Amino acid sequence: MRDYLIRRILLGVLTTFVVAALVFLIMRVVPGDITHIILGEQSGAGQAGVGMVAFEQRIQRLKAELGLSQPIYMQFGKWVWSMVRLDPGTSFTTMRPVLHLVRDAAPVTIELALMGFVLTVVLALVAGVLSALRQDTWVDYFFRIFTIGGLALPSFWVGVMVILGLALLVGYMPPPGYRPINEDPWASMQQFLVPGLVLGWRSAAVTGRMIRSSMLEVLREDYVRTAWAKGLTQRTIVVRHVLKNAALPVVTLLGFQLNALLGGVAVIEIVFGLPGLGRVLVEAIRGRDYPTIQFLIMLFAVVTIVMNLVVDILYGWLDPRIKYA
Amino acid sequence: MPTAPPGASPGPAVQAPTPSGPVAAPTVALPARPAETPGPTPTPRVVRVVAAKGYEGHPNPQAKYGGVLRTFIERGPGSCDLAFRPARGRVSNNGCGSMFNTLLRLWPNDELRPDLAERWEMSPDGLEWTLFLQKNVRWHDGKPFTADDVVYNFRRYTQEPEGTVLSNTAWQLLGVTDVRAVDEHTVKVRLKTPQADFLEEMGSPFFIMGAPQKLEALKAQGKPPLFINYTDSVGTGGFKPVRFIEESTYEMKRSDDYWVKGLPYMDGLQILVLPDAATRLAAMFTQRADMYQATELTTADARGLKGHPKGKEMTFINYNTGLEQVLAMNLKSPLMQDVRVREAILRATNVNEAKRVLGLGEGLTGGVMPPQGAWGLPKEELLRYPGQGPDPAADLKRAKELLVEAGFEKGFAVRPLLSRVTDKDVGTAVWVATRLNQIGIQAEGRGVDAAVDTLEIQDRRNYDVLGRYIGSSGSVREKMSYFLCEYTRTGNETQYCNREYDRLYALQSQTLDAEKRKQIIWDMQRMLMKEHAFQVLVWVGRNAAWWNYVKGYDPSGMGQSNHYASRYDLVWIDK
Repeated sequence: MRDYLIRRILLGVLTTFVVAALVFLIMRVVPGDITHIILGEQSGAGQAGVGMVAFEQRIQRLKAELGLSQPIYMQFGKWVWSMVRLDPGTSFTTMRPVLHLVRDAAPVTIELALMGFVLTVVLALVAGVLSALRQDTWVDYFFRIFTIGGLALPSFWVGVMVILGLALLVGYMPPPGYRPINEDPWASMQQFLVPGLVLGWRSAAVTGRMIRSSMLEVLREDYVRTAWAKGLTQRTIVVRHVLKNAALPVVTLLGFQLNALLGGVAVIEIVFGLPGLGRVLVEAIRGRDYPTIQFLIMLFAVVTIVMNLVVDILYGWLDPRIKYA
Repeated sequence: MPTAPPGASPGPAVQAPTPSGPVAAPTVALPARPAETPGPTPTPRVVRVVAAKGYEGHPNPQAKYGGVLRTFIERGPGSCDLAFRPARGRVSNNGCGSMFNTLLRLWPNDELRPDLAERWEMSPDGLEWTLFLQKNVRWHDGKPFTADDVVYNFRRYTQEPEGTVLSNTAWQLLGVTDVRAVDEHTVKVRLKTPQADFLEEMGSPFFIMGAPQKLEALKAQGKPPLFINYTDSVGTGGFKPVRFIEESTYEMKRSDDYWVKGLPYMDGLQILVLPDAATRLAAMFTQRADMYQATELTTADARGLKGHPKGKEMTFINYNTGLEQVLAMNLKSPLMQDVRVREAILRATNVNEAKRVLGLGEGLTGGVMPPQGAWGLPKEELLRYPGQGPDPAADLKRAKELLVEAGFEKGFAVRPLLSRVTDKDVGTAVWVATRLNQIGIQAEGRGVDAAVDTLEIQDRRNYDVLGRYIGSSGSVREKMSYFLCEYTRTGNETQYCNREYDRLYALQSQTLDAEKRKQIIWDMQRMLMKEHAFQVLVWVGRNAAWWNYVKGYDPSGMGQSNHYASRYDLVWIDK
């Protein structure tokens, strides 16, 4: 196990390095000169006029500021070192340290992702278990429609429909403007419940279908028939024998779903006006704020790598038959 | 004396700066403008009436005190320091305007009135302005506001910042050669040449007065001396910042020692950042917000709101702005050398058809300067130019004939009309391309990433025709400087360059007589119109809406930019 862990960690470091190289290259593969693009809007009519610092001088200044005058390997080395030191620099657009932006936005995304994840698990369990136990009845059909809907409908559309539907039909809207959970737990719950549901629906659909099919498979196993024959209650059979054995593939899937939730938060954060990491990333992309973009992509990559590792370890813990060589 | 532009459609009066002596101009009433089409009428724009009324009429005896106004914006202000902008960053008064004052202030109906400068004088040669400041003004930190503070701000605005920070103001104050404090409440500004729009610039929201002591403290801490951080902003405005969550919530409270006695009426402001249009609609419906601030409400959404029963409890306004959808032809393109081809394209993109489709029937049409303002060409004269006529079908027919006359019986293909991927940008490009297709020119509107747009349009000039969406102040400086030879390198997508035009541009900026200045500006516009390379398809009307219990908000005439409409010291809540 120890060797396996070391190997996985080393692999994770290598993957991170490859991601870093790709992220670094983004700035170099954008069409045109990045400094022209950054300063381009400023050079419109009226602003490049007489008496101003000449455009070319500005370009040179910016190149120096971004370190683009140096050889590319030096630029890469410096950038990797800044990542290692957790010093991604200052945002071009907000002029605030990138770490401060992340520090402020991360709690929002974590709260949203956790809410989405909890609701994913709850909805998936309800849909998957009831669907399997009541196979080919109206309960099964209902949850199958529910899960197919979750897969088919894009989250941003669902979010918009939910917001407008609640406002027009019920006259309700979750309170806008972020309230940290430690300041106002009730308002915070209201703010995150609806977006959490929208975010979790899709993941719940995927996971619920997996639970259903796993359970149907396990329900047909001999040992389950034996349990029924022994006269055990349905609850005992489902919880102790079926769910536990059906959980293995689901755990793996949930790990991926948590990553998917993190990836899907940007749209939900925009629709529900939550100032999380997704919003920061979108704003950074809109503003070509490279220090922020690079750091956030690296952050998401590292989180994904760590999550995958955790899922793999969890998998072995849940199923003692699995041995890591 | 105020003079009305002869020949202009019932135009607004323009007050020329008065040489020497305190300016004591009476308020000039704006004549009503007949509606172009039934329905909401955009307000005339680019009127500069210099009045000495200050905050007359306030506090309003009918106003109620108390309450917090909740409104929203699409994106956070980024930085509150309008004079400077981080590279690619954004600055906005939307969340910050109420914290600051300017020396002069633009009021509804485009009256330019005293703000921190209570009055002013111009020397007979027009080269020196004396600004007399309000007394008993204090910064939000309690320190008195003095002439030295104004000098500090002037120097800050005229100096080029370091690094990637860009100045929004230095180019507007190029003519300033010296600024000095005469006494505690008097400032003298020396100019290289007379500057016709000096007072206008002093009323620009970009020239906010910020507390020097705070900026110096930031510098001492190793931070940029800018009001980037919301709660670092120290001004003299009616509201003080109290709390912000980046890209989420901006909160201000009433400044109890605001120098305008009796103002502001409200206890505070809460400005929410809601990027999604549907969320904004929902917030309005559910009264989570009290108003759609200027610029946030699309025409389609405004119509949707109006059509709803709750719409009867709201006030709507559609007003003219400096935003425009334009057609530009590349005069250096081989295909655009024949003036008949250019005329055909202008006719194909008739402005009335553009207004119908692109403006959804709202907005204004006209020449190069906004048509209803002080500098727009008379309507009857405009009608003589191609593409301005009332009959788009006739224009289309004539456009086809012109192409045949130019030897393009079978039409020709132009390079893709590139635009940034926003609805108005792409919409303009696609519409122009569609109209060109109708006269046999093969064209395609194509949305591209901003990086590609910058590269292909600004750097490579890889286009024949463009349909663009442009935001500018609508001032002579911004609209007309666009066509100067020096901007063919960076802006000016037509590549127009005419030294006589440049000469006239310099001349008008120094002409203090408003009537003479207008004639020069008209001549410049005629030069451009005859070139047949540029057409404002439609000045986009902006919408705003608020629940009827919100009183005293009036963005009309503030169409130059949404920055003007973001001061709430005159607003109250009657609920």
